[in-house]
Amino acid sequence: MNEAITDLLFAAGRGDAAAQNRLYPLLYDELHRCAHRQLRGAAGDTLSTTALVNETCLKLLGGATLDVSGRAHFMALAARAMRQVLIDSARRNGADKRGGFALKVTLDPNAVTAPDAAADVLALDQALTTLEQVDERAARVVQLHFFAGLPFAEIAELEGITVRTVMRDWQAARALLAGQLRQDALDGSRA
Amino acid sequence: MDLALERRAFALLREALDREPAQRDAFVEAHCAGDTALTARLRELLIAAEGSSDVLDGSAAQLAARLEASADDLPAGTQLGAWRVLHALGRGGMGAVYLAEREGDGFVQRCAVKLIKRGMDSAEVLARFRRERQILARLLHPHIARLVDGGVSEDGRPWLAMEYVEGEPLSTFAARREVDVGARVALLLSLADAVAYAHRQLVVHRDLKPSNVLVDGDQAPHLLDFGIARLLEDTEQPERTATAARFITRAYAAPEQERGESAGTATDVYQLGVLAFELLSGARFHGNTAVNARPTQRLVEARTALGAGGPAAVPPRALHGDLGVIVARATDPDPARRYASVDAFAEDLRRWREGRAILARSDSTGYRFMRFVTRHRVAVGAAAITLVAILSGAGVALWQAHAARLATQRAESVNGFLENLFKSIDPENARGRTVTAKELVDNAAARLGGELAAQPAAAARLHNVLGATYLALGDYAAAETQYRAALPLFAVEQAALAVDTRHGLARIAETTGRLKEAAVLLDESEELRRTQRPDDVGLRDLIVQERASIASDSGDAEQAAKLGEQALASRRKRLGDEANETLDSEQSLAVYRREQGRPAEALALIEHMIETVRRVDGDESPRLAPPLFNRAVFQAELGDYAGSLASAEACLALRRRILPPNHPDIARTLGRKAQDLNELGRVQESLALRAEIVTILRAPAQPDRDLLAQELNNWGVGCYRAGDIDCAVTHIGEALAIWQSDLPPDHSNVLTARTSLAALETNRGHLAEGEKQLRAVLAQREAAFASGSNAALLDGWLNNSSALMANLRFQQRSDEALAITRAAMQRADAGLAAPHLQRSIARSNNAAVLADLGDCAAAQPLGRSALEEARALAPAGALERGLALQVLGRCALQGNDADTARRQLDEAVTALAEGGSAEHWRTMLARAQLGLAEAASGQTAKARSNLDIAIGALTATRPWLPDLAAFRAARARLH
Repeated sequence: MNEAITDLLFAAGRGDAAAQNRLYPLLYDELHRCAHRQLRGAAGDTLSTTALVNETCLKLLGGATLDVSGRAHFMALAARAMRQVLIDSARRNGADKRGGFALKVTLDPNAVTAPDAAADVLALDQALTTLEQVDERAARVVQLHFFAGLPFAEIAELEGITVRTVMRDWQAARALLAGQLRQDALDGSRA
Repeated sequence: MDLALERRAFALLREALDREPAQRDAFVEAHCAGDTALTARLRELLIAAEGSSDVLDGSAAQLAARLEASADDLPAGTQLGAWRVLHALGRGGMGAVYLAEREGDGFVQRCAVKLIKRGMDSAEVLARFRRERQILARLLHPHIARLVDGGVSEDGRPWLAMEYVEGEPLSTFAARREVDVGARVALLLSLADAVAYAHRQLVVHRDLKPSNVLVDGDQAPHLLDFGIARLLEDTEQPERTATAARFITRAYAAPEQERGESAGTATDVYQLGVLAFELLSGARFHGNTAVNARPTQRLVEARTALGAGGPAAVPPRALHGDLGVIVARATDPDPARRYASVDAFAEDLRRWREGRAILARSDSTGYRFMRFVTRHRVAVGAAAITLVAILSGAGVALWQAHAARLATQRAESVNGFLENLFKSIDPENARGRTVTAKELVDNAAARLGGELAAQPAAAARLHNVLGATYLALGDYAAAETQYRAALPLFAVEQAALAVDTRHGLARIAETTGRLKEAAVLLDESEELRRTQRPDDVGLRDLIVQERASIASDSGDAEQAAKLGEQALASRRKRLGDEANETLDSEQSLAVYRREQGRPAEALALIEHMIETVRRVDGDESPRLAPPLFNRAVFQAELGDYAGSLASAEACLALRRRILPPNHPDIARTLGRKAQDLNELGRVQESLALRAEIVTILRAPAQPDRDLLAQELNNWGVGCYRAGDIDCAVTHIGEALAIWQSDLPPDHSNVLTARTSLAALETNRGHLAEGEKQLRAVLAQREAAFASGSNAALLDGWLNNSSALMANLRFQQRSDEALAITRAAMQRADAGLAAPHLQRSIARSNNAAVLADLGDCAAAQPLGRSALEEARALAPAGALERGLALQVLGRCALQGNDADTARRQLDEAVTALAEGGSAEHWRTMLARAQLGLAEAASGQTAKARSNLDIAIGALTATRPWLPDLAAFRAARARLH
């Protein structure tokens, strides 16, 4: 495995911000490639977030292992990268449609707007940014759980808090985000 | 956005979510202290917490997948087969859905076309797609969106055209404020009906989530995507019925699906349960904070938490009670504890609606397994009786003294001594000292706490021994207490003993019906054994034997037999024929053979075992009791009722010497004897015995309800055979009542009893009613067949179908009966080894129906083969011989060979009288037919006599019988 990357990883694990910054685009690229490969793969196997992140982890880490602190940093980066992959994808999608995000009719005559993945991603990103201002830790929990696919127990270990706290953070954050998403949809600002 | 407000609200939200839903309102009041903005925001957030969210309840990966998929949208006007795309309707995990139309002869048809996304179009999938589309296209049900058409697009992607349903998704409908509980339950029943229908066609849905259910303007549900998941499965997956990860919507997946295990009807039950929860409460199921409440309370708690945010027409109190129980049972994480079928789920919903008691309330871990045959373990470790006598007085004191004086090593040897002591008190060895033994053991158990506190290793060992002894005495609760007390006492060095403890717990779990737990504990034991005691092959064999036992309990006869063979072979080789373990295995294998439908082999095995025990232990050995009982059962199955009676009486004699007079094993043996007497035609003796048995069984404060029901049922059957219909209806009715309140509605006992009652209705001439009941029961049995067959299932099914056939013939619908008898014959041949009475009956039935339809050319060979098979089991099989001869006689008569007919029917009457009774309607019917034959060959006097007798009897008991008219006419001609 690439020596340079291992060094970066360990440095990042020790909190080296420069190393983190250099690691990030590598991670991003890798995730992006992975995602595309999986989505268009012959097996057509839809990915689970955890599998996706783990595959990336494995590839980059090769045989090296990180300690808890290192792992925490890594996961946070992975989650951020995943989020960015989605946002970029969504923006690309949106841009391709005529007139921005087209309104799609559903079988539900009462619905205001169809489930539009691109719009959802962007709305989620916005809502998450809001959450970061309200409660930073809860936002981290959401990132790790939703984008990096980590189970609560692992998040607890990485953040140094109890599982119960993680669960509460998630439930509260979810409520705030869900409310935000629903509000966005109802606003019908995408017409 | 007011950031400060948001922060405060968020912080409070976290705390509020920590409280029980019922206390949240109070919390809000207390902490918001009049700040209206804060109160409003917090309330808003709390409502959002209970709601669902497509995005957040899924995963980022799903979001990514959706994104990718939306890049593929088809433009309007694209042609897919005969369908023209109009516009996109939405997007799912498998691909996009478009509204499309096609033109026909003066009409325009619209449908929803689902185009499967790229990546799911491998050659394998396409081939399967083509093959199985047919099956799905045949799903015709008002609540299942019909599969109209399908094909493959130009770029090689499969597409499916489905009935276009205009409606709203279930989640939206659920949020409607004005829809009340009754309407919601009605909708659920329609859904269940649809799913049950599909299950009968052997199609499982596997992705029953709210977005797959649309509700139209009449509040009728429509299920989308039925079976599509399987259709598109990659066949390279080794698990044929596992649902690939891609098709699971995480929030609605059943636990076993998430683990990647097989998804079967139980999965659909789970998902229906989730739908029910969400539809009734308006709240989300997965991750609902009501998870802290007891399972049966979750429904009402979830609704309460929503408060004003939930559907106004469904106040929380509407969800109190049984609805919560129903939903809890359907959504049990353990598939084995859920409703066994969608029909069962629907049944309980209907019962709730009618205000009747539901069946789910019975504790599922308390379900008793009906065991006609005991698998009593041969006692291990025989110690002299004298030890008991000596030690029952001084034993404890002796031990006390030793424990005080001796070092640990010596204490261990005392323990060894005590181990033998306790093992010697196994009832079969104690020959009557059961009561004393229990006292002694209880005594020891009580002292154990204090005396050995400083010697955990010794205490642990003793706990194990006590556990084993309690187990042998049948006190499972006490046994479990002892074993569980042992577990924490094991130090690392003593880990070897933990194997025994786990093993003991596994046994208890099995006995109380917790099969999954037992299997897990056994696996743990085996693993421990491999590391701690790799050379302990004795234990290895024992564990294999236990596994076989669990397989048998779970209904998997083949697996049980395979493992049983393994254990027997190993033990025989290691220990020889006479060792206890070998005998134990031999007896168990005999039982499994019987369950496989091979009673002759079972009998051979048990004979050998009995012979061996006699040789080793003498004729009076209590160890002979269980195998003697089993022998009786096997003999009966082969039709050797005389032999069975002898075995039963021998067993009874032994048991009366060892056991207290009201012991259930005695009742059980008496029951076997009564059954044999009945079959041998000694009907009155049999009935007298039945009354005695039931009295015994009713005596204890906590009667063994299952056994009581069994005996009541058999009593009723005995009455019926003796011609006393009222007695039959009374007793079978009572048996059914007991079983219905203790067992799930599709349990084979319930079905058997219902079948019997249905037959009785038929008997009384209520043919349509009888037919209805019989069909209902048959459908249940049919469904059970889909998941695997065993001898008991087959037996029940054959009896059932035989009864239905008879019913249809009485209604003169023999043409409909033909298909049934054919199927019965095929199944009997496939599932049972020749010669077998059921095979003979199946043939006779088929022949009888063919004769009704005038096709004696086909009927006769069948009749002959039936006769041969019945004769092969002589002296048993009299009834079966009679039935075969009856058909042959009828055909001979139809072929104008009056002499042969007369001979055959004469023999038939004799045989039927022997196998049943002379007064039985079947015998009388044959008699009448004999009369016809005699008339045809000119023996007028005899003909008159027989016809008079028969017509008289039949008019009295079965005046509605269609044949009577013909008989009367014939009689009239003889004047």
